[in-house]
Amino acid sequence: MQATGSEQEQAALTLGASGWQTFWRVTLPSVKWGLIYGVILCNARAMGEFGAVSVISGHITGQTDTMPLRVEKLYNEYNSAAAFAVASLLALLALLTLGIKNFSGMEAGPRLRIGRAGTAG
Amino acid sequence: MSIELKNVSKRFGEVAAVSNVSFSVKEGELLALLGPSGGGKTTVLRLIAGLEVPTEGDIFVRGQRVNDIKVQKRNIGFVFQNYALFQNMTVFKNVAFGLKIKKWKSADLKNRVSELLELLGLAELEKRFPHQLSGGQRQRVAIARALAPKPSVLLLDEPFGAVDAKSARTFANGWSVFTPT
Repeated sequence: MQATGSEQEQAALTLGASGWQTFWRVTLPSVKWGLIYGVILCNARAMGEFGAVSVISGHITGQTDTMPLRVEKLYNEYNSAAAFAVASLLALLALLTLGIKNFSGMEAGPRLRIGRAGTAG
Repeated sequence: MSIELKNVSKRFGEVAAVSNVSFSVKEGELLALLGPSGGGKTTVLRLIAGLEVPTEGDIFVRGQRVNDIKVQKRNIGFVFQNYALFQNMTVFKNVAFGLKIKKWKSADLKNRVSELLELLGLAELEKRFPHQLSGGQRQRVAIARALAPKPSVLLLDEPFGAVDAKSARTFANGWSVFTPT
């Protein structure tokens, strides 16, 4: 956002837009894909969390479990079928996340570059 | 007297960007500010637009003191040095932005935007995005966008700074089209 600068916002102001209108119509659309990209990365990180949840939350089944923790528990209970099922689901979500991440990255990338070129030129 | 500056100064911390400037522009007059880089030309324009507040002095537009009037209410058109087009909007939407904000009826809005695009030779490009345009085309979009809501003052910051000499000349010659008669 710093690289893009605030000129687009200032232009919106000179055209009569209020602060909110400027934010919703100009700022947010221009950072939309970058924002989604960030949310997806955060989500991926949270989904795969193991150590912190295991140590701090007490990993109570059905309440403070993450999927990797559940996989470990099922595996320790010799419930391999269930463990593999959850693991497969996790892998599927990982692939889905990767797909969305790449797509939003592709959308965000060129826009950010244009933003920079625009302010430099 | 359309625009008048009286002893206007603007300081950013210790740096005086503009100090004690006074001048006036008559209704319908075209005035150019010339000066070295870093001389405060942009700041003067930004002060008139309301994007900066003067540290000292008064600014009048059509006899009314505008120091405390917000930028949105000043009814000015501003063409930025780098045009500052909305990257996520098409040419048409860029030009229509100010009219949308002012809640023009969609038929009037379409007419006004088409008229301006026609006038500036951009009619064919209305569905393009700013990054798909040449420098000169971007500049014309910026001008169309600034003119669309019928501003009472049009401010252009280095209007020929980023276009080649030929486009600049073509443009300067055609300028009379926009000045009110």
